[in-house]
Amino acid sequence: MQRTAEAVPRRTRCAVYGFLVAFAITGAAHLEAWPFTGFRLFSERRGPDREGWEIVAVEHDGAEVRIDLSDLPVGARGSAKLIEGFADMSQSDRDGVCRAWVAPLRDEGRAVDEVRVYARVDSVRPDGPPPTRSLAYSCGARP
Amino acid sequence: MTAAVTVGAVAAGADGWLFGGETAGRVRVTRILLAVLIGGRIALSPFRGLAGQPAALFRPVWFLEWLDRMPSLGTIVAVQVIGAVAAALAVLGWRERGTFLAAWMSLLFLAGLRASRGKVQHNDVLLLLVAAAFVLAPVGLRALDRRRSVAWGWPVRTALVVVAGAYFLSGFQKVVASGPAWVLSDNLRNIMYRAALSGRAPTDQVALFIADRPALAHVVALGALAVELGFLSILFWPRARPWFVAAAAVLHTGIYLTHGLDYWMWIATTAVVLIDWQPLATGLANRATRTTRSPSVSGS
Repeated sequence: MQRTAEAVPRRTRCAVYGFLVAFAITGAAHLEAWPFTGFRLFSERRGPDREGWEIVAVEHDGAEVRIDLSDLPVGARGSAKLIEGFADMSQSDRDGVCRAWVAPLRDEGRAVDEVRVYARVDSVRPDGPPPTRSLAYSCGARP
Repeated sequence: MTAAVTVGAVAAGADGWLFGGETAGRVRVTRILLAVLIGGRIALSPFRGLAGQPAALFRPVWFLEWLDRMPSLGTIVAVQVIGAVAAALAVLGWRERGTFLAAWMSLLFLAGLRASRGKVQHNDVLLLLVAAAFVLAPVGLRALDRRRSVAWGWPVRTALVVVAGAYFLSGFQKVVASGPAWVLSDNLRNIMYRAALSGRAPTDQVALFIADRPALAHVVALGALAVELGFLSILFWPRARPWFVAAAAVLHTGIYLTHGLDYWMWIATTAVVLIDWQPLATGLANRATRTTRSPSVSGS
């Protein structure tokens, strides 16, 4: 066999090491530079309570319609993560996100006045206490 | 002094392994199989559904920040067609480096769009990272070429490091974030109860079966963590590789049955990288040759 130094160009060796160093640093230090990732897959310990968000559309008559993001088009799924950044957003930006969530309802002709985002705590246990929720944000009023 | 010598020896050993020899055929066959996975993923994933996403929901990953919104349906379909055709041409060996790069970049773009919804997406990460190692790999090799050289070893070995590292780091992050409680507490039971509530899995029976049995939940948690951390052993113990392919298949099938999450590309990529498919390719070629020759033999 040829010796490595002759067979593998120096620039290739540098590229391989650079690639692996980026992979290792992002993975070990939990940095996200997708597709380099911190590999946090189910890594945090889950307790019996599930803290999350409940998104509801408030219709003109005051009725609340729960929005399940997984029922929305592919582009909107997973966007509940954006709520974590709501505190740092302007009201205008929050309104934009909330209007996107209720756009399918409004397209159906439903009279949605606003969107409410509740911070919700559910017990995941079958014998757990009932869920609690508190209003975190109001947004997405008709422009 | 002794420590410095030891570190130097380990580094030299790691370098020697990373740039060690593999057969030309293994590089070619691995690239063919990766191109098949890339092409299939590009053609069959519902990327088209991303078009029409309201601009307010678009949170581009770093290399797509030049976009101000999700591309149009026409653009997404065009990239899918280009990527699928390029992958097919890479399988055929036509201008391998360029076509494989085009296919890889197409998947990077499309999967990057999917990861631009505010949530980190891991589904295609392993395939993309492994295939990245083959973008610069030597071209013009024959699948049946069993010659071995250090010139051809590094793509396969880099891919092995990435697969082993991805699983190990997944386990490592569990240990860092949760410590022994990831296994010893009710953590996995709670994960399973949550999964059952989410309604995304094809059934809630598997998740509830585990969640309702505390001892089983601890065993499953320990097994999952042991598989992830143990993946590093494939670098030192080649005979363990088929077992870890099987373990990864069990792990991800379990995640699908309990959570409905799509990690099929992790199983497929792991199988492509950890198993040397070149002898199988040779065997198939020999059988095809015998089949082709036999009619003339019997007819003479």
